[in-house]
Amino acid sequence: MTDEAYSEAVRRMQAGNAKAFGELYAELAEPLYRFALSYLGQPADAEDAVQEALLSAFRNRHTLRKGTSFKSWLFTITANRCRDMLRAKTRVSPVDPEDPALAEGSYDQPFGEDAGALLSSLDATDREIVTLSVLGGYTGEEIGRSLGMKPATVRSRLSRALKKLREEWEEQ
Amino acid sequence: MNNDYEIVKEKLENADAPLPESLKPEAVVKRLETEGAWVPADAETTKEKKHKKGIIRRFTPLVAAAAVIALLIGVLPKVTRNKPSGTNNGAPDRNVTQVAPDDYSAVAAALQKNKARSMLSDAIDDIFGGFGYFGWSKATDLAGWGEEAYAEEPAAESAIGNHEKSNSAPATAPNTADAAEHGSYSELNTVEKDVDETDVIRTDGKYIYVLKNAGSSNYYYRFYGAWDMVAETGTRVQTFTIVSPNDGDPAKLSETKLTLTEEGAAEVVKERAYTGFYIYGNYAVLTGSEIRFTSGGMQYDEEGQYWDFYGNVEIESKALVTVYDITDKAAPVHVRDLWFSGNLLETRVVNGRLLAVSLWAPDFDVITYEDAGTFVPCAGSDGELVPAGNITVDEEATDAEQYLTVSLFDLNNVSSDPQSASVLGSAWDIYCSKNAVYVYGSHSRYRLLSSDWLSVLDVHKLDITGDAPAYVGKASFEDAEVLNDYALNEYNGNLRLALHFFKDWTNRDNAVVVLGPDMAELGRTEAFGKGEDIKSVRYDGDLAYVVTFRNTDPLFAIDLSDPANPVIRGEAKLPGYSSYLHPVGGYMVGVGYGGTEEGLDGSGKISLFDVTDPDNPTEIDQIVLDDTTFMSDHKAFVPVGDDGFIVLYHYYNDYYWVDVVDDAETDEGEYETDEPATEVADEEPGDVDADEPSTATADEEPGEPDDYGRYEAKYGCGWIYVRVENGKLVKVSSAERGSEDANRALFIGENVYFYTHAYGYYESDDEYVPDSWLITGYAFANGAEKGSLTL
Repeated sequence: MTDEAYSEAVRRMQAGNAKAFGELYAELAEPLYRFALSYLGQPADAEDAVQEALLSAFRNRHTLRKGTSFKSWLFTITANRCRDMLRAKTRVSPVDPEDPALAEGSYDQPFGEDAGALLSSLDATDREIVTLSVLGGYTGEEIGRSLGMKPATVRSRLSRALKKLREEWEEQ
Repeated sequence: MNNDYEIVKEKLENADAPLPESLKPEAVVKRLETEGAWVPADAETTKEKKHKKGIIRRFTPLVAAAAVIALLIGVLPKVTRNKPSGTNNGAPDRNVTQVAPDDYSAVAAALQKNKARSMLSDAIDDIFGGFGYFGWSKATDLAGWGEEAYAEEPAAESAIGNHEKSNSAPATAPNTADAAEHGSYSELNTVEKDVDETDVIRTDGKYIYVLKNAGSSNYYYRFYGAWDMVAETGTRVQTFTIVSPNDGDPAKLSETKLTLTEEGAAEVVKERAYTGFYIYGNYAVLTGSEIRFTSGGMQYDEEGQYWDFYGNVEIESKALVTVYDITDKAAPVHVRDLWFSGNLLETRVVNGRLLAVSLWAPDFDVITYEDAGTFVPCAGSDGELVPAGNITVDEEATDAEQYLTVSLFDLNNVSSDPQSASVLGSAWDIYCSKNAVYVYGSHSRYRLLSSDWLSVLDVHKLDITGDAPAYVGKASFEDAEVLNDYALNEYNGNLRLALHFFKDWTNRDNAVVVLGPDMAELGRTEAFGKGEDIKSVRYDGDLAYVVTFRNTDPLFAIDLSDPANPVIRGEAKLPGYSSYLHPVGGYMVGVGYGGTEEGLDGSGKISLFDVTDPDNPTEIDQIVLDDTTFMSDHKAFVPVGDDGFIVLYHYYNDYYWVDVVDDAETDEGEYETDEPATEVADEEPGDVDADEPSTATADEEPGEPDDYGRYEAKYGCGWIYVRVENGKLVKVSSAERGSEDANRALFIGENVYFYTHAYGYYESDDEYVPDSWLITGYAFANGAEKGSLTL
């Protein structure tokens, strides 16, 4: 999409045009879902998170500020949604064993053959950091602000987590 | 380049993750066009509990509407409106009510009313769209996303640790620092003079006191344990340690274990976690929280594989203040505990009294309005309720089903009870002068007419000169936000505030507003820094200095000598921006980020501003460190006498993963970098002795490459002591510590003590090296390391 077409689509989107939103979203659909999946681990959760984020984004389209890219804005909303879901998940009672989703096996290795398993070997915070950095493109400072850590801490944890993931991959 | 990053990125980006039908752009557009009827298309993948939640949410508007109708027809008791004492008629309408002494029924009524209003607000939120995702950061802060994964990290152009490209050329050799010159020991750099703030390490000149593992609670720790990180789990213990400075070679005198974890019935855990402390005479006063929670765990399937986890569930959280008698440094003695309902927002010590501000939301599921204990906050050692006469109701706040409680506790008489006052309203931050505490925070309100959300910043003032805090009044600002405590300042009884106003994404600006003692507005500047955010604020008598930023940094000088007519006098525009301002030796020092006309470049910068002519503030000198972030936390800035300071920083070079050019043919040590690896640190003409430790660390060889020919990224932290002499920034001494995070620095006599933290890591698959905290002593004069203590 050219800069002009992009600006025009943003303008139309902000005027309430859902198709313009779709044009802007089209390029991001896969990376955004992948991001949510890496964040949350479960396809059903990721789908919910992205759906809710898209709706929230469209309803609050006026908050896309000049100077911010649509991509950055949408990823931020999705990251927030994922984070809320992750936190909420720790506060609810265990899932229902009768849940049909379990029987369908959708709780097993959802993310590639091994990527999901490897990511789940990281602790929750490291996983968030890796996802935000690698798939979200956020800087250490931004991640630090969102997780309440020093940027240097984020970077050191990131480098260790990346090293761990890379080494495990290479062992496979 | 950073190979691990690239490898992981490639793996994750190519991992099999088919896009669900419902997320395909056409499906999304279809749904957005029927926005109001949004239902997850693929109901099979949506869990049962979510449907239940949806049903409850759909009923919320009805419940809320019913509650509001009940209010309108007067089912609930009415609140008598009473202007609190201390306000005058000239003040704007505050819509606050002070309830009659010993009669909590008015509080109950207000609470019910606010709860109903809050439910209505939630319902509107449901109908018209959420407003909840601003918790991340302001969208403008993410500008430029996507150009490069590490946009803030500049390309490596210098050898590791070779951060400095100072254009500061000291005219004279720097003086060696000695105790007589800069005072005998450092005091915590506080927002307001004579108003002490809590911190994790302090000195009284004779001893160093440290709270190790500040802020950590096993509540969160146990949660991570549930994620299979068995190697890292274990009980986190906080300790309060008294250390002898021992002329630069610190030694432990005593260590008191603080984390009191009590395992109760049915896995209920009660646990304390402290965030900071004060030293007042012979007392150490620790501040933190006490939390009761049920411990989480894992769910396993028949084959022993976990299929889900459930986390800890908080039952109750209280703010906690604990007093220790530290007369005997080898054996501190516990004196007493005080509890305050809810979470501790902030504390101060002012005029010999501890001020604690806590926020509490009563549990509406257990409230019985006949029993005040279920809906009135407690403050004291035995569940004492805040007196009804000390509770003020903010009728305007839409999310005011919470209490803000301000308590004063006499540290000269630690057996006395705290005196408390509450406001039924919400806020998050405080600014405290010697006379008053200002509690501020924003809430949002939906405007039906224009169908948009309005954000309202409320600033509540409580007088703290009497026995108990006394509510004075509040001021409200629409679509406004406050950067931090430094944006507020009380001067001659007036409150000055630097505010950022954001109406929408094209319409943002800033102003400094002056409020009188009764919180009525006296005057405000014209709007300045259009389209820019406020990055730092400093008041100095009648003048205010405000830094705003978009691509470059204007520093505005604002004359507030006539409160009714504040005037912008001058501005200095320069690349980067200062995130902390501090007056030093008649100049203004700015600590922050370096940059170019296009924006930030990843360097850290210390600026020296000549502000003698407010019409023409100018940057007259600077020190720039590449790949560096200076700590903008004011507690990490250490004033040294009248004309010097120590500032802390972190450095990181994430491009230091370098590949051996060709495994087979390359000689050992030959590797590819953007810049020749032989480059050495700049030798500044004014730098002290050649054996300066910072460059010693900096020039270290990168070590052995791993099996894949990669070198570890270098990160670490450092301190730098700078003096202001004849309009120049003169670097006197510095030191760096690799692979550690900086917390604080302090000095006693001839020595600087640097408090750092090293994170735990895996030495091998089985061997985990846990976190460590260190205090390292250095000679003030040249930064030579003298000794180190691991806590």
